[in-house]
Amino acid sequence: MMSFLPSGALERKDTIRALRLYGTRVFIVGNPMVYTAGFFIFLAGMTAHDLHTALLTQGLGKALKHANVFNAAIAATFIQNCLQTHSGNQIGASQAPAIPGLLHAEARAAALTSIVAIIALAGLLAWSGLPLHDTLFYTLLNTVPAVVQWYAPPQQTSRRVKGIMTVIGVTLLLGLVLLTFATDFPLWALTRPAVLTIPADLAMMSLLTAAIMTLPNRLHSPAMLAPTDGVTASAPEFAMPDSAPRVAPQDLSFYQLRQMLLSPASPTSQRNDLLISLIMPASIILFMGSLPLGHGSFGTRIAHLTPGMTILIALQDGWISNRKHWPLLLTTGRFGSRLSFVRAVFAAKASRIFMTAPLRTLSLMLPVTLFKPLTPTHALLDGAELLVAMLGVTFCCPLPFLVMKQPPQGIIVAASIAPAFLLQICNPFILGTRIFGPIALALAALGALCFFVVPSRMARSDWPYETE
Amino acid sequence: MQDRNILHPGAPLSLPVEVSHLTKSFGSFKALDDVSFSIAQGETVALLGRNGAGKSTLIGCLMGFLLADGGSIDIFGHSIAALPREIRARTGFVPQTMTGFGNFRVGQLMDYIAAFYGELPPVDPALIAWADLDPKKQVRALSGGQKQRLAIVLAMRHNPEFLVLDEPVASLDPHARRDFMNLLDAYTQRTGASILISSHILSDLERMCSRLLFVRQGRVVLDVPTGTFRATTRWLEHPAPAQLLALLPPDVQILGQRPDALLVHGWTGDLSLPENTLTVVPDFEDAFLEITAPRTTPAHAEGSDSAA
Repeated sequence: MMSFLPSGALERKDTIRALRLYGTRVFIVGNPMVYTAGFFIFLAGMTAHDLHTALLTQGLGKALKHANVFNAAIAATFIQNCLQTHSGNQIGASQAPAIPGLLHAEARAAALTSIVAIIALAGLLAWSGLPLHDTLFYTLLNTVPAVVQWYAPPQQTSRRVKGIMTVIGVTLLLGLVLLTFATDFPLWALTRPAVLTIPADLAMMSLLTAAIMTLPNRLHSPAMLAPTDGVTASAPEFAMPDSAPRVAPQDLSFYQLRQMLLSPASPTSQRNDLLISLIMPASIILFMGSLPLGHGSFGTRIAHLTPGMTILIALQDGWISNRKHWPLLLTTGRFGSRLSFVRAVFAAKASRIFMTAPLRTLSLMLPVTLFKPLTPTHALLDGAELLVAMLGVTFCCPLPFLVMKQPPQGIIVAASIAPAFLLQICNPFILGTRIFGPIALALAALGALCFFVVPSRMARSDWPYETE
Repeated sequence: MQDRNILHPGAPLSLPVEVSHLTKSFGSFKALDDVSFSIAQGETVALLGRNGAGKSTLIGCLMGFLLADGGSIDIFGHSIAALPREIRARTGFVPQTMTGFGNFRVGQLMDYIAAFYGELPPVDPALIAWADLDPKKQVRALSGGQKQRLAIVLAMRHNPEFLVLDEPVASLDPHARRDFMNLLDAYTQRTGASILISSHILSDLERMCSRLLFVRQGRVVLDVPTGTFRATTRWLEHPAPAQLLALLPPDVQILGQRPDALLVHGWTGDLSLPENTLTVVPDFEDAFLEITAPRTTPAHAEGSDSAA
């Protein structure tokens, strides 16, 4: 691994040149997460302000109940995503390894920017009056998902290495999720003594830096550059009988064929979709609620977890942002004209969401209804509003096409991930039924408008073809 | 060797490329098997082979993108495993398809990349004229062919002494392709640079390359100057070509066999063969197809891997 700091004048110049890119539009182009990160940095600033005000009159424990410090955690993740997208553009370029000094310069610049951004975000939180070493500790803990991403194994590396790295990554992520949702994690992280946090901060920064600095080795590892002109890099794991066709058509159900319109690579079977929707939210809530990590009774812990878990029922599949497969599927002729094709995509999404959303909502509501407990009327009302809102936001994803003929990909991506966050921060458990009801109805109306109007607009717009 | 190194007159005259007993495997698949060759200054070498023959793997190893399992690669006298920056700066690489850098504008990217090479002479106007790219256009908005032109400009902007091109013209239109080949020819004439080019446009390679390197199933099966190939490669047509085998001297290499003919290299014409034997100059494409066709077992007549 190369050294973190440039050792000579030439390397210093290279690094400065790479750093300068972060101040130009090169950093923003094709990097939609910049806007999302900016939004959450703004929210983190608001949180710091709220905390600052609250801490004047009350303790941190109470102050945190009124200030959503989770915004800073999300900001930390999105900042790393921005940096990954930007540096990946240069480091992952096909000609990059042939250009002297470029890989090292870009990796150094990304590592430096990453560390500076984390310190700046921690500084923003520290403005509230919290110790910097604690805010840094909290921010760095929340970059764990990013570190896992920076360390993502190359796709064609050996199975053993890939397995080990995946297990480490999943363990880290799961640990963070458990900490975040099942405990008073922010209070714990923001009140650690300096003797613990300063060494931990240094260790985590070193880990992050190492992850970034080794990125060129992984992006341009031999496995990634395996022969591209028609031969597989490794031998098949089982012998294929001579009589077997080399390209065997897979039997797909009608449901899967329809879902290919949304996600051609891995169309889910109807049974799996139903089972996952019904079992996943309840299982996760019950599992996390049963862990002896939080305060209060089992019911209290479940009630505490439920708002955060709404994200599980709002997970999207990038059905509008990922449209690269559209031209190919259109040429099959199976779906008719462009307009029929887009309508088929919307119908596929509708068939899926109308089937899975009630199950996910039921799965989310059952534990809290039984263990909090909620009255049946209250539970039904909460659940119904959540369901209506979810159906609405699903079809709000294509909103950019309603107002722009050819919206930039960045805006489409932002609109695609927005529903999950919208439901995360705005749901009946947080806003209360009286306020949330009209919001849910408004979202449903907007979604319905998009469902009926957007297909004809998308049918008249250009689809992704040839260019990035 | 005459010093034609106009680009870096003071640079020591090491061979641009020396590859010795190179092997590379992916799992149990042997992509390169005991490959050896060298490229002299000013040579333009064509790398020929079917899809999957090992050309891209060889190029990957040569550029230091892939780590060889065995053997050695020296670029200008330095091992590829630890290539100093100043040596790397004397090389250039054009990939099959240009990926990345989509967030730059064309002019911005050219300036950014050029800065990594230090002070450079003014860019060759012929290169810029050929590329015909709008410097203000976003790289991600370029067509496939335009991206390839940009990749070529980026690889040649710093006047490399050793240029590797991995199927550089596959996405270019015939005008752009022909003009590029002329540009490349003029570049080598002007600078004395060495070129290794992989392409499936055989007519281009035959016209402009001074040497041909045929690769089959990870091995170099023929390494020969283009002129020698033209002069001494022949089809020997005979109803029973097996009968000819015993009559051919050991220095004649048999490159392929059809039911009615042998493709031989090293043919001098002064051998006495049966009267009903016809000697035919092979079409370059036919010869390519025969030489690079996969073999389930080593051809009985392949005495050596390298004839040059």
